[in-house]
Amino acid sequence: MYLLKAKGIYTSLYFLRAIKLVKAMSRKILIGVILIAVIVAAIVATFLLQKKEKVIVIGTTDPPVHLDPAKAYEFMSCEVIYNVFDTLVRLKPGTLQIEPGLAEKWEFKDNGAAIVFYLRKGVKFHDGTELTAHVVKYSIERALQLKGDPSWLISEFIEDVKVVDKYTVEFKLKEPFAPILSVFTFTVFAPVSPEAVKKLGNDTFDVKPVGTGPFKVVDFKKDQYVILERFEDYWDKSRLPKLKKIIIKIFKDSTTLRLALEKGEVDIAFRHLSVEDLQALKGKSSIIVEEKPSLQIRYLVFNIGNFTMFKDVKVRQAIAYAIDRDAIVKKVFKGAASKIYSLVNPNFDWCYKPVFEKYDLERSEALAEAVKLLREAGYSENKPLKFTLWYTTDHYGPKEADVAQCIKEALEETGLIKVDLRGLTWSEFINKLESYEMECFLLGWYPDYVDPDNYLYPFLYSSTSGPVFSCWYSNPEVDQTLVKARQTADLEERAYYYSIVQEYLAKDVPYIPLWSQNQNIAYRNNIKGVSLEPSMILWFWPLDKS
Amino acid sequence: MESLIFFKNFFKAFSKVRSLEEKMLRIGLVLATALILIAVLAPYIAPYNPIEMYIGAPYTPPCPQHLFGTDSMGRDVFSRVIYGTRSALMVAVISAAFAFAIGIPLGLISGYVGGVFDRVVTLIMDALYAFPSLVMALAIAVALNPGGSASVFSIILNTAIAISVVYIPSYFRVIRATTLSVKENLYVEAAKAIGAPPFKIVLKYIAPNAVNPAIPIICMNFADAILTAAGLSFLGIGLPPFYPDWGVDVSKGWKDIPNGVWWTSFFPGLMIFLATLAFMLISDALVEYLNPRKERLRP
Amino acid sequence: MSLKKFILTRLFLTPFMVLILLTLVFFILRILPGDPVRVAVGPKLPPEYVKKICHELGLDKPIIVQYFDYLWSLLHGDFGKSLITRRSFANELIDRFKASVELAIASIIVAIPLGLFIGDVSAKYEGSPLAHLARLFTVATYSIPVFWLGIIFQVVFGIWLGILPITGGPPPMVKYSVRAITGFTTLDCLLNGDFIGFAECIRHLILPAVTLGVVISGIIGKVSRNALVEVMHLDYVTAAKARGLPEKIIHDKYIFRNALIPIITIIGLQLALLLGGAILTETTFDYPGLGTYLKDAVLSRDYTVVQAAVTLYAIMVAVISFIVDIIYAFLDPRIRY
Repeated sequence: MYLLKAKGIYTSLYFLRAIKLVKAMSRKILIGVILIAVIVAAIVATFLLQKKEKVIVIGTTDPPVHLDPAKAYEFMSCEVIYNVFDTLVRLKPGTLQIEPGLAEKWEFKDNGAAIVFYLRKGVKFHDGTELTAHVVKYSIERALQLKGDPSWLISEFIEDVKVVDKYTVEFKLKEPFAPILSVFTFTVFAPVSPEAVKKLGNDTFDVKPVGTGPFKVVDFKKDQYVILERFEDYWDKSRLPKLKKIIIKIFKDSTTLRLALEKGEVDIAFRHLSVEDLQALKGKSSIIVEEKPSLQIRYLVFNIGNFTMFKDVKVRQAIAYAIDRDAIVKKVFKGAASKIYSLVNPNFDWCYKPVFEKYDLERSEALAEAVKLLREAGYSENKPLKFTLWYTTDHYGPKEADVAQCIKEALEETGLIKVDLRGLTWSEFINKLESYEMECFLLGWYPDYVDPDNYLYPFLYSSTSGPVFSCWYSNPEVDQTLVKARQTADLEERAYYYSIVQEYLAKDVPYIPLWSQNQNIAYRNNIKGVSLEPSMILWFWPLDKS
Repeated sequence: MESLIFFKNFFKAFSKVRSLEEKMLRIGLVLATALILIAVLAPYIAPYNPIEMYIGAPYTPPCPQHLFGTDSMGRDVFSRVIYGTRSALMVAVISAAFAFAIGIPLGLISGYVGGVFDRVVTLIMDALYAFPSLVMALAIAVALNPGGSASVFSIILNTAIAISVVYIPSYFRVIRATTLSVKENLYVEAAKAIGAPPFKIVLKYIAPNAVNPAIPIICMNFADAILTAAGLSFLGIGLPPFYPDWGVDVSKGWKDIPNGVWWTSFFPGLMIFLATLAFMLISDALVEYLNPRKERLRP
Repeated sequence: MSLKKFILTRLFLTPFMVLILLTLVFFILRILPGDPVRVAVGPKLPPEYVKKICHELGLDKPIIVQYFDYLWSLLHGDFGKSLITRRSFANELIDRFKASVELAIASIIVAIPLGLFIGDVSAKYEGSPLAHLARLFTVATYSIPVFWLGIIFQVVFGIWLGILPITGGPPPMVKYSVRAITGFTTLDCLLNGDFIGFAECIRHLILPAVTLGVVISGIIGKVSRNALVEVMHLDYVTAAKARGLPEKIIHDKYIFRNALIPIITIIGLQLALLLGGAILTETTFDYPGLGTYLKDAVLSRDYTVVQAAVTLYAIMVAVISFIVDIIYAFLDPRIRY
């Protein structure tokens, strides 16, 4: 009906109707207003009545999965375990050196083929069980029997565990292995309470573990939170926690974590704040951001064994020249990463050799070198080198695709290379890795034990380089040198061997070391005791809130 | 015959804008046409390569060179949004085609044949129909593309298949209901009496009647496909992160908001909204059109 | 068909519906290429470990045997073990499910009044600008990507105004310290007399619930409008009008009550959709519900968990649609199959 009316009347009618409507609705509106008022009152009330218990909330985007040392292999799981358990020997805070942990002292026997630990007396588990040599033996055997992800670290090196007396335990090694003590710092070697395992069963122990460490786990909800409480009877009085409770809250992404930190819902943001969020946080006066080099290395792998184009060392060298590390570090990571020139992490200053520096020339020079090598290898504008660069979309953070794109652009600058990008989820990536189907891919590495051996041996030793990394690098000289380096305890001698290996690495280019992302932590300025360790472990016991 | 009325109404929408439905239909059609044009002409409309990094400085706010600004890697958001239309519409078209091709024959046969076959199919379809579509799409998308190793096109195809599975019951239900009611008509009975083969009866006498009710569903299917595809890529299942896609861009762009960068997520989100809205408007208006009750309602 | 017979038939059909969905999901997830266990345990383990795990989880048997094993263990309420953690996850699943139900109820509380209001307005004042606005609102809510709307709410209320937390779900301390009676944290807080905890829970619920509620209110609005309009033009309403009954009485007593049936149905259907459609909302607000649980499982390719979560959805859908059908049959004596 109204459609037929003239425009003017039409509009005024609209208004009249609207006014009538509002009047008719006034009762409903009143109810609505009251409802909203109640909600607002509730919100205000929570602000005013908030409990003021001193608790530190650590936010992370990296969820712990297992809290049982026999099963934990992911970083954050181990991180929690380091604070809930103790190992026989541990890393000295602020360094990568070994210091006594549950073992007061130790000695090597049989030319390094066995090691005897003398345990501290009177160490108690959270449930009151005492730590003895039997417990240590039990824990190692249990880990082996459960065959969790980290159990290979035991089976690879340890032949046998022997109880000498109540407080003395002897480990027989498969063969002398120089960095064995750093292996012992890994969480899988942490003694667990046999009583608790018996009482709870393996599945529950994985969620409510009982260790000897400064904190005990009181509640763990996967992908939500972990609540830790101070263990009052902790043996190491110098490491008695300052605060009664620590909460680890898991966030789905860096941005949510960062906002929670800004609003004070979280006191510490540890692991995986994005580059952009870190930069933004740096400008805030109430928040302190710390950055340090990490133990991570990121590199490119060539499948030399299965793909003919990469059998030619000139091609690999050309790619080493053409890659632009500066672009990756500055453009993609905006300075939150550092360039690396060897597979050995630069943190190991006693043996790190920046062997790949020779490829990192001025851009035009580097391109010229790359073009020269490619032409020698028989490629031209009409017949460019074509290959697929594989990367994983969900394992190394959100920047991976950008890195791949960046590498593609740098390589194609030569005009002789054509790169196809393929992003896979981590699971599919692993599948492809194991079926050796990828010719060239981006991978990353965190050490299982903090020693340069772990950065070179698995990559370059002929029997592991193929199956593990699908690289199939094999050089008898390198093999021999790597084995020699494992068998001597003398650091200088080992450094010499590793320098030889690294020279070969730069000459043969089976891998191209690219960058190492910095570790970082951001926390509110009323939090004390936060320190970034070279080992990347965050110790909870010194944390305090003012 | 009914389709004739439909087309008459359809054209009336352009002659005189009268009711809300007609306005909605018009807005919807204009939006949809624009989207299709954008998708087809993307290379000519987009000023830059959507995946090339550092085309402008990162986080350039919207300006004449970069209409929708640039993202964290200096990619042009406008170009990405334009190219994103392609994958969205591709998913929509393919999923509608699949669902149409399976749902309609199934509905016709099930409705016509009846009996146990009809019972079983209806039960399956009912189960599927009530099931949350995103959950099903999630499961299917993962099963079809477990590692995300597939090429971009096959990811789009898989997403489309996942969505179409969820949509088959919608076609099925409507077509089956139509078939059941048409089946009782005299001319069908007559055809049967003459001895026309069932195949011919279904194709010639029943199928044409099923076209009308299917049209709003196609539009709804389009709208839902765009929304579901965006949802899947928002969840991180689907297209690779650098590929221009609205869902991917919203989930990535949201991370920039706390830094005051709203344009990287706002525009792709707006596009999802507009694209879905276009087809929803058409579908909504058509439902009213094809609803006979409407005639009675007119003042 | 009598009501009793109808209910019995419906009751009989419900398990079949669940079974169909279960079977579908099971086989969809098992036609996968690749080895889910290999994928889950990572690259560093030798093949014999993988074999052992496969054996532990029963994945080395033929698929048909696995299928019946699966059904059998489901009958015992056993969902199996997660491929990633290799622990049984039934507790986690139920915990997440309860959180999702909490969110669903909260958003229904938002959606019903809003939806009815909108439907009412657009039916009652048909042709007026307000009704047009209401109509457009319903179409818009259906078209808007939930996550985008959620993000907008987060930005406005969480970041600009800073009055509400941007993440959903009860804070860990509340959840940990409150004694679990029902498992629904918000309710538990109330039952324990922890009003601060309760307010905290509500505060964290508001944004996700409103986001989801707004989206659902559109559909409720649309259906209730159609129902109301339908009833409005029925003869007995015209008769009542002719008799000169006050408009308010006609509206409340004659129209609204009779339009309730389809509205209730759609609310029931929405409840099922809610539980699924909430995946995006839960993800946006990082809410620890079944949706995020499923999403995480999908992303980490934890097939047993995906299967279990989808199964739970299937059971819920079947049960809810059963209940809705029964209510429907009770309300409208004309409806029989």
